[in-house]
Amino acid sequence: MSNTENKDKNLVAKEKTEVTGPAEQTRPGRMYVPEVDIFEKDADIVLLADMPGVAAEDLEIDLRDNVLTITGDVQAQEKEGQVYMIREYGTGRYYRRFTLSNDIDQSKIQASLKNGVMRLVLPKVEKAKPRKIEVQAA
Amino acid sequence: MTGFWLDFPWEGQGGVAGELGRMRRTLDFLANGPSLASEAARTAGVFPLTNVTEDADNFYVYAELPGMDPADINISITGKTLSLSGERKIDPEEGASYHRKERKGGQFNRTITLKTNVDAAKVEANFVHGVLTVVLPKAEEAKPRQIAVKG
Repeated sequence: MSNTENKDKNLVAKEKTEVTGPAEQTRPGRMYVPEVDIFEKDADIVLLADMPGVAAEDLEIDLRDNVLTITGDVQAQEKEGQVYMIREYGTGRYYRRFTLSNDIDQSKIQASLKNGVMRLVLPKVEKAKPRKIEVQAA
Repeated sequence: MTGFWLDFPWEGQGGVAGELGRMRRTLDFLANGPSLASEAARTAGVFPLTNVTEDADNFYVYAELPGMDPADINISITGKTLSLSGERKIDPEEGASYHRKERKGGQFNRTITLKTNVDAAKVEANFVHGVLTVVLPKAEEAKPRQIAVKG
């Protein structure tokens, strides 16, 4: 998408997607699927995820057996004693999983969080250099 | 493009799992009556989705605007109408090839009409972790008053 395409476009309201399936039963409360952008550069792969309401200490990134799991807990925005007049979205835990390839250097993954967007930088492993094998004459 | 990323399809919205999820929500609805899921279907259809609450003194307006710079959010009040506008900028990365592109940028403009007038001078807004909160104190004449009954 080019920059100019963004300019005159009006944002369309979209309901948050709830997590469906087996993962939901492990925990009470609502769970939502964060929207992500994933792009690849020469040296790394970057994942951006919209997780509004998540503080850095409530963000969990887990990587095992090449499965990357992102979880973010959200504190309820509304305080006690407030009565709803309009309720268009729910709040709850964000949850999403991805399978990574082996080409990620798992020890150098970096995560940051700003204004409700997580940025995860996954550096690629340096490809093994091609080697030329000499055949020894007998 | 290489196949670096595999979503777990049963955790998304489509397919058999999505169908099961919808069934579960229908059963929830039948068992517990209207809940958030059914209420959420009645949105104004305007970005951003908004929650509005009130207590005796204030109205509270909440909206999720992840990735926005607070300086790009415009808030104005006329009488009992609050208007939120701005632009969510998502700049494409230079020299990157995309595997997923779900986050959307663009402009928005939404008005919300409250039940009573508010004290426009005392309205406060803050933006924490991508969530906008606007606190609008009700106008003095709109606040509920306790009336003592004389014996």
